[in-house]
Amino acid sequence: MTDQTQRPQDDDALEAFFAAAKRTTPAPSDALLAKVMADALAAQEARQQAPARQRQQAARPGVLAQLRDALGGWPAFGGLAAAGVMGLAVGLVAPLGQDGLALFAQSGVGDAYLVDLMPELDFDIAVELNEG
Amino acid sequence: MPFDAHSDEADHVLLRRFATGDAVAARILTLRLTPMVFAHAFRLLGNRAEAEDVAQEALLRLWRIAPDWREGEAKVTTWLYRVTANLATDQLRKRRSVALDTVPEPEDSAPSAAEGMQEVARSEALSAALADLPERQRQAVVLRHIEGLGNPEIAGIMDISAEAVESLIARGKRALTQALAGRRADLGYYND
Repeated sequence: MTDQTQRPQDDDALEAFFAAAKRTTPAPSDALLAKVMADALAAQEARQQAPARQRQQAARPGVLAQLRDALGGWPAFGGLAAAGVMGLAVGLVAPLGQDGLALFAQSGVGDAYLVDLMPELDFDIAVELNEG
Repeated sequence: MPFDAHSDEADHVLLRRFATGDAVAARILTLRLTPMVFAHAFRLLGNRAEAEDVAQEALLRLWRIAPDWREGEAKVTTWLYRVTANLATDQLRKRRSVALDTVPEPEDSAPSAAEGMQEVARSEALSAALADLPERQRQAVVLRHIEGLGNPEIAGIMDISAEAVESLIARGKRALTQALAGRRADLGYYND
């Protein structure tokens, strides 16, 4: 036999050794089985505790939820949103509003609203000026 | 092993059940996989205590990865053979780094000889010859000729091509033939 040649009878002889090895497969001890089983159960327990912690973290409300709750729930949150939209609309039409005010001022209609709330004061000043 | 005897569920199905906290699945997998992992570790290491440590660690890694196990990528046994071999290789490296007087002795064959168990003596002769092979040759030969796996699966375990597996096995068998040539007559083989 050379180093590079494996004859059929060599394979047969080796196969007899392999067969002996298969028939004498070493078995794990009871202690090893117990340790592996304990590891398995411990891993399961750790796994079951981890999701519970995740659920606790998930149960904490987010910023949006906290804001919604502070405002009084979804109805109030909806009202706030509507007010925001309205404010935006008012801002967009502001130039038109200024024109409207200018026309209103020039029309003279505003004079009807000029009311002297203390007419007697004008009288007193006039008397003092005449006497003085 | 009554649970294992009555379970025909595939390993990956049991592993899915295990990940949900099923204690019965844990027991079945323990009884089914521990003998295989331990035997493979023992054949690679030749020492029972080291093989037990490696087997426990390999299975612990399986328990931890179970929730993230992706079915269809690899068989559970293929994954375990790979992890076991890697851990055994680490163990062999540790052996080389410690003083020779602390290296574990190979398992003594005296009890089996006393009992007249020639077959055990043959197995141990093979084990001793395997221990002298380079690690990759030993792993390939053990997986093919003792564990009985096919070359494609061995290629997957060892992360090499099927051709490379064939080459490792051929070289390993030549070395084993030489190592065991002088023992055949002692062990009752006269076929050369």
